[in-house]
Amino acid sequence: MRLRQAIVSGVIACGVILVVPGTAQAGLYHGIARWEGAYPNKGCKAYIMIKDATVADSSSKGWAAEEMWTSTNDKHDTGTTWIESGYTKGWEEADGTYHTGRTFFWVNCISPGYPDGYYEHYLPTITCALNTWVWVKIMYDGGTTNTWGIYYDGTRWATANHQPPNSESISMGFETTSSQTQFGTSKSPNKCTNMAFYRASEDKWYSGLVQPGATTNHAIADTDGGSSNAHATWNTKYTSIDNWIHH
Amino acid sequence: MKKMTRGTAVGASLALLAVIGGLAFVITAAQSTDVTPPPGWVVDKAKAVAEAYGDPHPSSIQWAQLPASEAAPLLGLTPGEAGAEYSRQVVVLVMQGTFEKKKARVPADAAKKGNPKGQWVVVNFDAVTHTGTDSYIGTIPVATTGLGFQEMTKF
Repeated sequence: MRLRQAIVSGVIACGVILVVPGTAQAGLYHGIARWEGAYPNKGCKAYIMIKDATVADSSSKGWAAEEMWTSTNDKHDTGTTWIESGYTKGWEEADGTYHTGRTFFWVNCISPGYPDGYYEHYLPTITCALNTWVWVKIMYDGGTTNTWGIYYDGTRWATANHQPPNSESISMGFETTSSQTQFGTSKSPNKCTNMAFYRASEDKWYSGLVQPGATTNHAIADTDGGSSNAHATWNTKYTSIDNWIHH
Repeated sequence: MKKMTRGTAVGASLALLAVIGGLAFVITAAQSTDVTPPPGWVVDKAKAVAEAYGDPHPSSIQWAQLPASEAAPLLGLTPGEAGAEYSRQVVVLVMQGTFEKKKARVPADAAKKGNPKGQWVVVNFDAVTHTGTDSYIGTIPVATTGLGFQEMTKF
């Protein structure tokens, strides 16, 4: 009985969100919904509206992105190992060549440490049309190299390799490089809707709370960059968020 | 035992010279393949990448032009998928040095740890358009053996 209590206590403790001040990457701002301790999932998806942005720091190659993140390798947060996918207004090639337009992108960060491998990919050949909705999905395949599929509107475009399951943390919303960027407004926000994650053992998609009794599934306006301009609020609790930055 | 005549000796010498000449040609040809200089635009890209990743003078720079599908594993891609299309040729740069990826796309948790850093950087550029869409930075060593990579003169 004591062992059982200890395990339950441990699970609850692991579910608590820790906001630790530290040496933040300079100038990154997030307005997101985040779930932690949502175990064990093998995929996630969201329906995202593609909106325009005025990137305040475009002269220094900044960007604004609406996207989805999933942790991997049984991690409770996305601090060391994750996959992310979405679209970005503004992007930079490895040699510094800067593009002001929109494109889909995805990132695969492999780590026991941080990072052992950070892979960044852009997909400028896929149409990324304004004011349209797109399904963004990341799904675990399995296999000896632990692959995950990257999907836009049901079409598989790429594969993230060497990422063991499971996902225990999922975030959705925006990320940008300037607190002065205009990306949605309170009256006309960006939207992430129909957010859900996939539990393979039950072959079922879940929206919102997946861990009975969990208290860690909520939207937060993450201000790790010190911005008071980042916002995320529930539109439909545990399913959809509105998010915007600046006004 | 037969004595070698003068004519035979001259013939043998000429044959030997021809063999030596042929060998020299083969060696020279092989050497010239090994030292094929990269196109100017590739050198310019390499300099810009090194600068962008914070180490303007990497300890090693290798380059190769190859099908994107063959380069796929170096960049975390899968042959035939986006970025690694079978029909596309790419120039790949593999660098060793002390690198940092600025303006990396990292979630809120990881952002607290700062920018990704590593001793290895791999990037690609389309051989026709010169656009680069895929990159890697990290501590996992990159194996280029058998892919036709050549060392680029340091700058």
